[in-house]
Amino acid sequence: MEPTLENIRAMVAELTLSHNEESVPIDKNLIRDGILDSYSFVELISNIEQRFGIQIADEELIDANLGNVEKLTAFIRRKTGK
Amino acid sequence: MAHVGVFPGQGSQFSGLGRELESYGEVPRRVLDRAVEVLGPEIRDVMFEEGSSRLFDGYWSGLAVTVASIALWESYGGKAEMKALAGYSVGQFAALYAAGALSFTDTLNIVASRGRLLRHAAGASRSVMIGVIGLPLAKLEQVLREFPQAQISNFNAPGNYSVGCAKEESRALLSAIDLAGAIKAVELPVEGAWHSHFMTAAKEAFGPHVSVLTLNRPAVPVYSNVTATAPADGEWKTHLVEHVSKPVLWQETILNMGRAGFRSYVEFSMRPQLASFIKFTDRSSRIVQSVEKADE
Repeated sequence: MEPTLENIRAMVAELTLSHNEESVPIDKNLIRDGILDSYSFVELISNIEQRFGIQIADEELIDANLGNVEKLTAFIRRKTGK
Repeated sequence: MAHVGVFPGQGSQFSGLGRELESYGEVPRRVLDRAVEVLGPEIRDVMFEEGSSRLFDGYWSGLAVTVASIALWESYGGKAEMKALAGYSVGQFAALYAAGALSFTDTLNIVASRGRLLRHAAGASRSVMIGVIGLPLAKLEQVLREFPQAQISNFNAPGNYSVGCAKEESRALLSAIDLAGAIKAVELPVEGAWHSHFMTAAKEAFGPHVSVLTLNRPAVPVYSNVTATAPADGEWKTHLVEHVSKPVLWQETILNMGRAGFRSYVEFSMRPQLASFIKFTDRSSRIVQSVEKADE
């Protein structure tokens, strides 16, 4: 899987109640804006680590890296070099 | 396989939890009846009322969560597979009950006494709790250097903490945490800064209540929030007193359990609370909710 905005948005949508990608604005904060709760958020981190074969360190768990779909996509691209 | 049983704290309650609990069968119904015998009929009202505001008062929520945890434990078919136990904050009392260390009556009565003392201390302390998600510990500690009264009260998981602080500094602290790059920081809907120095008076008043408890040797190791280890024989009473004003070392507890070979957890709660903390701390762990296996 390529770390594209569409793919990451779909991964977030999988974890929402509606499973609807339309309900996941790419620039809204995943937790603060209520898209995911903290349990779904950790599921997302786990899924990302597995699918992209990366490890997200504790100090990387910050808003600038993971706050919304756009930031998350850019972060995975940096980690995977894609 | 060796599993760990974990028991949640305040925050895992929800409106109408009594009704849902009863739907799990005869065993939870009997536990609810016994709770009414010990605490009086009000516990039933609190647990059954839709939209009860009392359910979000620390005193009643502590009791409701304890009754629910015990009911789920008693309904669970795989108790013998639990090779260690741990509770989060007030959940430690349910864990000690499950380990055979505390009787049912003593468990409810000591949770009630604790709740009364905390309520009193919270009113006098003018303190609040702030929940932080997505900020490394070193950065949070750096922020807190500017707020000498504030203290980390709950180490939940990497990047997930609660901070106790004085009411008058909470807005400035929230802004500073946001500015440091947290994904989310929010004032928590609790009455006071639990597990911090703001609760010292409650801790001191709780001592005499704990000292008269009959506390048997736990049948399996029960990890303490104060040290993140299973206390030696005879030391649990000190831990129960200390935990009132000491931080909850939950992340360290899960790391220590991992070092002891534990990777599989059963959460005795109708709504997952500890599951995300455990999964964040140990992503190789497996967590299930006890109700998925509760006897019908």
